[in-house]
Amino acid sequence: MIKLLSNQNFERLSRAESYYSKLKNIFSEHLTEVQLQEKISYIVLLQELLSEVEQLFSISKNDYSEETFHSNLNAFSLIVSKTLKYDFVVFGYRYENTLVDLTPFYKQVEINNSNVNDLKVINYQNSLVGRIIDEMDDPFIWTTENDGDIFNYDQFISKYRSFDIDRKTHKNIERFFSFLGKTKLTNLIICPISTIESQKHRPLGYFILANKQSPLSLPFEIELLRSLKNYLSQIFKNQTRIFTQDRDSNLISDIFKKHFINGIQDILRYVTSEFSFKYSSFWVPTLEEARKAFGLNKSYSDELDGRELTACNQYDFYLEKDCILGKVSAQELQPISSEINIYSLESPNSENTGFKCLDKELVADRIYFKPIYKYYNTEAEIIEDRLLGIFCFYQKSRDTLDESTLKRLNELFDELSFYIEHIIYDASFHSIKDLSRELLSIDITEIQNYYDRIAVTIRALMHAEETSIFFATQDNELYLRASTASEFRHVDKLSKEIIETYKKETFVNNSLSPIYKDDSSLTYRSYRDKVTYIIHDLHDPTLRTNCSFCESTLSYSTTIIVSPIIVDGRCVGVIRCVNKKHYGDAFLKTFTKFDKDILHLISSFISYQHLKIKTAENQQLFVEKLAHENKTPVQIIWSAIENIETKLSRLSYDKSLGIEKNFQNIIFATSVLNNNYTNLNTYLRSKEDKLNYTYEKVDLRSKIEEITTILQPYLEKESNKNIAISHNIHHMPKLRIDEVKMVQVIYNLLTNAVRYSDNSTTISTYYKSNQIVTIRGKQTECFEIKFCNFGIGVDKADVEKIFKEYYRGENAMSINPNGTGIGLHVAKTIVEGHGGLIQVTELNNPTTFSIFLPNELIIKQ
Amino acid sequence: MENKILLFDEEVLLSNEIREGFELQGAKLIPAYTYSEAIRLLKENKFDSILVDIVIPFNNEDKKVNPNLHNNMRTGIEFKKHVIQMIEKKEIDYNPRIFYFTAISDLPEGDSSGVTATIHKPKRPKQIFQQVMGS
Repeated sequence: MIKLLSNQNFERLSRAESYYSKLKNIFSEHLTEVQLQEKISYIVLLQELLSEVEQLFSISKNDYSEETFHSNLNAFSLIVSKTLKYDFVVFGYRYENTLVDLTPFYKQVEINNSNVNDLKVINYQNSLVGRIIDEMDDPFIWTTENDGDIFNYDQFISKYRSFDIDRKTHKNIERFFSFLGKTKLTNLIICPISTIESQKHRPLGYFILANKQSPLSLPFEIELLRSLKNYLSQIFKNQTRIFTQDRDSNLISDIFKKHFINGIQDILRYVTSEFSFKYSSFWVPTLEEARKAFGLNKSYSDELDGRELTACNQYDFYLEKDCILGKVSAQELQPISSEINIYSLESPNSENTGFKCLDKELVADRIYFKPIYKYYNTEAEIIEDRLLGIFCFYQKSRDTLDESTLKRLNELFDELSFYIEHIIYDASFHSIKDLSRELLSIDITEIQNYYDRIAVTIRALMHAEETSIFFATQDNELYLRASTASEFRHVDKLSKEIIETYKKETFVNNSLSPIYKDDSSLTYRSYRDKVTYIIHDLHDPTLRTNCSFCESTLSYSTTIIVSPIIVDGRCVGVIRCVNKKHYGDAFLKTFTKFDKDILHLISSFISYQHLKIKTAENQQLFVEKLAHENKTPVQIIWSAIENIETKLSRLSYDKSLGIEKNFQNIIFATSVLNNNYTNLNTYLRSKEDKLNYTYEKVDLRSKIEEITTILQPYLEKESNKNIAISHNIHHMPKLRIDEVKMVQVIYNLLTNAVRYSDNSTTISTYYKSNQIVTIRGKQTECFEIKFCNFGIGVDKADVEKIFKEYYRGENAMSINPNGTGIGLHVAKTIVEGHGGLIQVTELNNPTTFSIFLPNELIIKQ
Repeated sequence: MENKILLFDEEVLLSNEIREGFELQGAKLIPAYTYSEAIRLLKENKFDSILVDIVIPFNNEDKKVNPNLHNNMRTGIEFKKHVIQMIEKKEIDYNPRIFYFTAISDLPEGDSSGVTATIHKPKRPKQIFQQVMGS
C-alpha cells in the first residue's frame, strides 16, 4: 500500500485517521487487509488526481479556449503518468467525427515529430480507438502479463464480448502502440470518456494509458479509471460544448464582419466540415412562370471532386411539386422533434426526393433539411411565404447525428437565419435605397430620359444583364418605353438561331409600333394577368411562352422576370429583366422569389412616379389648354366691343359719357389676361424644351405702337401716375420673327417699365441698327430695340438675377408685391431663342432694357 | 365683285361676332361650323379668302368627306390641304387666299405652305379685317 502512496498522500491520510478507519469498516467484511490497503491507496490516488483535475480546469471557465484545454490536458497527462506510473499517457477528444489526439506525454520514449502530427487527428471511424470508445462504455484493458491472479484474459474477453479481440485486433493494438512509441507493449488501457444522452452512449473523448511500470492491479484499476472517467466526462462535455459554441459564434460574428458577400458559401463550408457532411446545398424559392419552384443558390463539398461537384450542381432547378423541397416548405414532413426543426430523410434516392443527382453522382444514406424562415415575420403571413430557403445536408454513410449535435445545428441556423435574411435582402435594401434616391432626384419634367435612367437603375439593382420597360397603348398593346439593351433579336426557340436583329431605336418610345399584341408571350401575359412571371430556361421547348423576341445579350437569354406596373388597379405596362448575373462562386442562374419581391417594390415606385408624371402632364396640358382656350374669349370680347363701337357710332349718343374709355379698359384688361396666359404657356414649354418658334414676316414697329395703344388705360391707371410712352422709332425694317412671342417680349418689357416708372415720366422706345455685340462668345452684327424709363431702377446686385424665373428684386417687391416673376424670364428665353441678347443697365439714368437681335432676322427689301 | 370670305371655326359666338364685324365694314363673311359644311360652302360659292381655325372637332359625317381627319384635331391643316387639292384637281374654279385664324402659337413650318398668313388669336378685329381684305 505504502509503495503506491506518495509521501504527501500518506501524510494526508494519516491525519485523516477517522476517514481511514471508516473506509476500513466499509470494506473489511469483504476484503483482505492487503486488498483493503490497495483499495484505500487507490482512493487516495484518485482524490489526488481529481483535485488536480479540478484545479486545472476550474480556472477561468469563461475565457476557456481550445488552446488552454489542450495544455491543461497535457499537464494532466503528466500528472497521471507520474501518479499512476504509466510510461505512456495520451488524452484525446472527439471533434464531431474526428478524434483529436493531444500531444502525448511520453516517458522514456523517443518519438519523432512527424509521427506525433500524424496522430493528432485520427479519423474516428477508421481508428481502433474510435471503434472502442464508440462501442464501449467501460475501459478497455489489455495486457500481456498472463498472471491469473491479477488479470484474467479470458474473464476480460467474456466481460467485453461485444468487442471481439481476436488475433487481428491483438496485432492491431501492437501495431498501434509500436507506431506510437516503437516500444514493446506490455499493457494498454483505452478508456472512453462518454456521456449518456437520450439513453444512448455518446463518446466525448478518451485517454490511453500504457506500460504501467508495476503489474496491473484489477479491479481497483478499473474502479479508479471509472471514477476518473466520470469526472472527466463532465469536464469534456462542458469543454466541447464551449468549443463548438465558440466556433459557432465566431462564424456568426464573422459572417457580418468579413464574409457578407460570400456569406452563404461560408456558412456551407463551415457546416460541411464541422458536421462532416458529404455535400451541402442551399436552395431558394423561385418561380417557373407562376408555378412555385426552387433554384440552387450555393453548394459545398470537401469530399466530391470537381467533376462530381459540377455534375451535382448541374441539377440546379426543380419545380416545387417535383421535389421533396416542396414538402419541406409546406411542412408536410415530420421534423425531428418539436424543438429541432430539421427534417431527416433516410436512404434518399431520386424517387423519394426528386433529386436527379442521387441516381449517379451522389450517394448518401441520409439527407437533413433545414428550412430557414424570415427573422422578421408577422403572424398573418403564410409560413411558405416566410421561407428564405432550405439547406440540404448529405450524410456520409453509416453516420447519424446524435441529438445534441442536431440541437446544435438547429440552434446555429436559428441564429444564422437573421444573417441569412440580411445577406439575401441587405444588398437589395441598399440598392432600393439608391433607387429611391435616384428616382426622387430625377426631375420628372425631364420625361424624355426619365425611364432610360430608371431602366439602368433597375438593371443594377436586379443584377440583370438587360432591363426594359414596356408601356401599354390605349389598344392594350405593349410598346418599348426604355431599355438598357441597344439591340433586340428574334431567336428561334428550338434551334436557338437568331432570325433577325433590330436596333433599339426601331421600337423605343414608338407607340405606333408595339411589340406585343395580345399574344402568349410571357411579357404580354404578365401585362394581361397582372402577375409577375419568371422563367428559368427561356428556350425550353416545353414552355408555352413565346419569348423569342428578346434583348440582345452576351450569352443566350436564359432567364427572364416580368413584372406588371399597376397604377390605380390598372396595369399600365411591365418591367422585364433578362439574365441574372451571378458573382463569385454562386451559380444561381435564375431570378428568385426575392427578385420578384424587389421588382414588385420597384414597380410600385414606378407606378407612383408614373402617377406623378401623369398628373404633371395633365397639369401641363391643362395649363396649355387654358392658355389656348382663353384666347378665343378674348377674341370674342374684342370683336364684340368693336362691333358695339361701330354700332354706337351710327347712333347719336352723348360722347361725354366716355364709353370709349370703358372699352379701352376692357381691351387692356383682357390683354393682360391674354399675356399672362401666354407667358405661362411659354414658360412651361421652355421648361420642357418644347418651345417652338414660327418665323413670320412681322412689322414689329406697328406691333409696338399697337401695344402702346392697348396699354393706354394702364398709363393713366392711377390719377397721380401719368406716364407717357414716346415713340422714337421712325423706321424699322420688317423682321422674320415669331410674332406672338416677340409681341409678348415687348408687352412684358413695356408693362414692366410702366409698373416701375416714377410719376409723370416718359418711357422712350428706340431702334438702333448695326451694333456689334458678343452673343454666346461670338461677335454678332445686331440691331437694338431699347426701352428707357426713369423709375426705381435695378440694383447692381440684381442685374443678372432679374431675368431668373420667379426672381423679383427687393425694390420691385416694395412697389408691387404681386407680379408673377416670370415676365422678364420669358422675355429673356424668347430673345435668346431668336439668337439675341437681353440686357439691363444698372444705373437709373435712365433704366434701359435692350434687346439685341441678329441682323439675319431683318428681311431685306 | 363682292368680297366673300369663308370662316371655318366651330365657335359659334366668335364666328358671329367676326361675321358682324366684317359685315359692318361692308364685306360678306359666311361662317361654317363643321368640316362637311365648309366643303359644301366652298363648292357652292366663290370665296376671295378663307379663314380657318386649326383645332376643330369633327364628326363621322366629316370623316366621310375627308378620311384623313385624325385625333390630333388639327382639322384646319387637313382642311387647307383639302382646299389646295380641290384647286389643283379643279374641283373649284377659283383660287382663294387662305389664312389660319388660330390661337396655336407654334405651328410646324411645313404646315403653313400655301397659307397667305397666320392670324393669331386674339387680334384687334380692325387689323384682322385689314389683313384679310388688304393689300
